[in-house]
Amino acid sequence: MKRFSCDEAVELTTAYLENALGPTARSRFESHLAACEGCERHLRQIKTTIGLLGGLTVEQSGQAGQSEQAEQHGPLGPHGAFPPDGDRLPTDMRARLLKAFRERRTSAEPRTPL
Amino acid sequence: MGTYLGEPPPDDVVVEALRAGDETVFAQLLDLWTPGMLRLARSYLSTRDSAEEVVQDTWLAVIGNIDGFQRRSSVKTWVYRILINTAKKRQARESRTIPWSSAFNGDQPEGAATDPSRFRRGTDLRSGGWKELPALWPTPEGEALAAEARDRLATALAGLPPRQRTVITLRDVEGHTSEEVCEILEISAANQRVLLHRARASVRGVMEDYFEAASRSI
Repeated sequence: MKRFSCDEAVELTTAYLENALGPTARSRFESHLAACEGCERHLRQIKTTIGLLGGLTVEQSGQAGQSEQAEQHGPLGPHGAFPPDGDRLPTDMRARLLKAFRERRTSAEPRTPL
Repeated sequence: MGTYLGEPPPDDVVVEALRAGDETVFAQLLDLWTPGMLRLARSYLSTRDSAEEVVQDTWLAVIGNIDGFQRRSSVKTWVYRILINTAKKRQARESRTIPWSSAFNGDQPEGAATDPSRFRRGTDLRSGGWKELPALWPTPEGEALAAEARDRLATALAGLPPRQRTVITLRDVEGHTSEEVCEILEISAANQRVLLHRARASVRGVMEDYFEAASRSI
């Protein structure tokens, strides 16, 4: 059975993690990894990268704490309290959406009030 | 993902609640999903304002069409598909941004996702092996490093070609499954995997450079 070389193995990382390799390729990939420190590190770093990316959301959700909700848009206005790439809608936009939702309930036909 | 505000109820409950006009459920979805939607919209559009309007229009479409929702997909996938379609239309109107279709080709260059110069060339048995093993990464310690690493990560994401950025954002930042991403973007599983692979390889490369520089400066 032909062994994967390292440059071949790293290109299969995602397919491996997605369970998209056939049984033969999977077993070749795993036996390469078992014997290759470089590729083992590479796979671990890809997993670390995925973990760090997942942490972006958790972190930002954490910042979007409910306790801050009341004071988030203080005198500085919708964008004042957060960097421009903050992850929430401006307060007035959010309020308009909630209003649109309420009005949908009371109107026979859905409409777009904005 | 996004557990801070609580997971939404199961889809059946959500659909019934929205149809019945349950504002609490609507507000919960709005607050839970909007951050991810804004990030995704930003990968299509050049300005924060455009992205906000696209997200707003998406929610308005959800409000207007929830009665007709067919349940052929999850509610979240349905919402994200509306978002993508709204973003694409908006993008087409904005000349500054690259159309999705033309971005597509440049997004998938031929060849390896990992720099080929990292590997030995030749005809002997060591051909294709690492010239130098990837350096070990430090276990991030302390808030400062973590914050800096996150900045670097966000920059790496922003620098990706649009389709790669969209796929990796949906998968690794937002936590959608590969099936959901294929459905949202209407791409094949193989295509999704290629885009994800290239994106992850790029981001790993950026983080590798970052950790290497950080270890030298200590």
